[in-house]
Amino acid sequence: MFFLTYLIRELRRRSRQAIFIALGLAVGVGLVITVTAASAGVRNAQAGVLKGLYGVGTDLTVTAKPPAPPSNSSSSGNSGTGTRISLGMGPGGAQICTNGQCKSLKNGYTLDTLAPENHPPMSATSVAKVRGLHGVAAAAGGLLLTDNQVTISQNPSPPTSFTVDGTDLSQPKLGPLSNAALSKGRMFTSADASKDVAVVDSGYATSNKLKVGKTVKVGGVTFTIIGLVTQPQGSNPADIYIPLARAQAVGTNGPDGKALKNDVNTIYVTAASASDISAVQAAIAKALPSSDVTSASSLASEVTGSLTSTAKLANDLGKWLSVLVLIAAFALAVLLTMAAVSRRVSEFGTLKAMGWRGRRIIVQVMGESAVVGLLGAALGVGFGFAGAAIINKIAPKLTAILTVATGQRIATPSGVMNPTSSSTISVPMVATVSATVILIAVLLALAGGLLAGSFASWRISRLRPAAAIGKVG
Amino acid sequence: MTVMYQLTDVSKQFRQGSRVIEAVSHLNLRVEDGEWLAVRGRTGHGKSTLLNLLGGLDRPTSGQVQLDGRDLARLGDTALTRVRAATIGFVFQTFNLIPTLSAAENVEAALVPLGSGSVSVGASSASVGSASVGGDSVSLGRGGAARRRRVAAALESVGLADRMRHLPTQLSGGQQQRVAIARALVKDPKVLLADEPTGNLDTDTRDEIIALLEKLWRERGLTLILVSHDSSVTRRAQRVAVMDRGHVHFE
Repeated sequence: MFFLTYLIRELRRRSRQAIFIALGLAVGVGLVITVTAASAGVRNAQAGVLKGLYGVGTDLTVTAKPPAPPSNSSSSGNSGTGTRISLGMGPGGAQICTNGQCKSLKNGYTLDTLAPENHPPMSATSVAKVRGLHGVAAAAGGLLLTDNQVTISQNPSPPTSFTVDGTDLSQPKLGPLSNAALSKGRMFTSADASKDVAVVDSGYATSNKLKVGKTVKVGGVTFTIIGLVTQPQGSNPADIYIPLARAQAVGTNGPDGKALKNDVNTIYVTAASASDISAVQAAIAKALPSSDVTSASSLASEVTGSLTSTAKLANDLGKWLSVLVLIAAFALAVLLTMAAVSRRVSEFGTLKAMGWRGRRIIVQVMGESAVVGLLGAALGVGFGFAGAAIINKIAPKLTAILTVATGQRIATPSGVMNPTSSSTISVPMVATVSATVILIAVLLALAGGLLAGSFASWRISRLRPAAAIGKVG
Repeated sequence: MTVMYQLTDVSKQFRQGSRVIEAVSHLNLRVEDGEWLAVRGRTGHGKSTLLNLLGGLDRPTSGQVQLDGRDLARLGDTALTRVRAATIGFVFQTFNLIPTLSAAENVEAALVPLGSGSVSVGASSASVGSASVGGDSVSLGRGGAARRRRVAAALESVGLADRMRHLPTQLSGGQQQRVAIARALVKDPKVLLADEPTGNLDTDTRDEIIALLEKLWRERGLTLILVSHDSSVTRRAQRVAVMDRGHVHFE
């Protein structure tokens, strides 16, 4: 009781100084919370982008490496995967050449081809091979295709295209569709595996006036729309999802229009544990030497834009700024506490003369410092929340630019070119203050207070009572 | 009469840069239990140094300072602290009250080191809640209520029963010194050491304080050692020692 009375009275006497020390600690701690919240916000935004690109539960994606271009290919040739479409005039009038095969066209004719655009196909047996590797919890194949449609008319219009994702319905928890939220209709069931049914991205559906129950042509085949889905912000969704088996049946590949039966071009993999990811990545690369294995971290390194620069800013500058301010706050607390102790030397000497042990006086001073530290923590948490709120209010949306190789290799007079496609994703940054961060901040402020108290205690422990009382005659 | 203090060939040196100052030099002194000894002398002749040695606030460079048969110079810090807590009361010229605490809380501060634990001057511990000096046990009081009663009694004994909640700044110099005396005596010490207790007081207040000290000395059977340069104060003592360049002689 006496301990508390003495502590409260002393802090009240030095209230301005105590508040000043607490404010110093609060600024440091508040900055740590704000920077950590901003970093967490950026991390969450990054995770959102990657989650959108990857799908929930996917640790690795496997895609086939694009074939090397033939050395004698022409400068205009497209020797990779995909479909080459050209319109022109032939001996019989208008004609369309698809992968080198030309045929005459009637007015109003629509040519609809579904083929891999970015990643060449690989055998579906690769999925089983990956699934059998040690450390792999689950693996699912997918077929990412592009549907190109050209309609012949008197006034030729440019070809239209949309993306199609052939989804493995036996693995609903893997792949891009696993991340989607159903907004209308229903999702696929295993009974849909061989049916001509489609789930459409709600954004694509809105812009093309598609609804549940309506039909859509994919690769020349009519699919009935059974559901509309919304992918999380920051993702790069396919326009239409169809069962994998149907995508394999309808899609074609290569100049000869080869069927994609038993082919996939992406394998989504879940590792048994986070610590297994790198080992699994290496095992897949060994088992499928002609494939590219991408992990979330390697994908993250390919993300550029303000998201990346903000993450760098928060992690580097923010971290060091927080450390510097904390050091300054700690130094301020130590100096002011030492100064306060210097003014109380006679008081401590008197207490020692009365039989107070040095340890008891130190406990008293440490108690005062701890209370100042806790006050700093409380203010700092408030500052931290305010800082996070300000960031949320003023921070512009971050953009993530993901550059992906198209899989094509074009021989040019100056060498082989690997064309890439970029997608820009706009992501809101929400700085979030977690309970762990609050706890760390409280501990930091308390540590600052106790550090200041310990320096003062060191001074007290060296105090000779006779000298402290002050009179040596 | 039993001997309370026995100082044998005590010297205390201080170093100031390259100079060595001998504040107390080969001093021999015997103080009986219950005696009032006044120490006077000019400033810088070793009065306060002697008092610090008697109070266990400082250690002699050489010699023995025996309190109730125990050599304070040989006691460890913890044991010496216990001796100060239970056996010796201090009164200072500048009162040395804690400015944030009330009169009662300042007095209570002297009971804090005694707490509820055992306190003894000897090697073995005495009973809980009491202090023993040379076998005599004094009740210290345990718990808040007992403490408060002791504090109230101590303040009443110095005539400040109605000033218990006053802060030092709300008291006159004489009242502050009374609080300091109550603080020194609340634990029933055997020895009261007073260093220029009237040095900061006017003549009337000085006389009041000296009269109070004399009364308490008589009532409690204290061993009182009072340092003062004021001969009107020292002549009230039973014996007057004069410090001169670190040496002592008696009037």
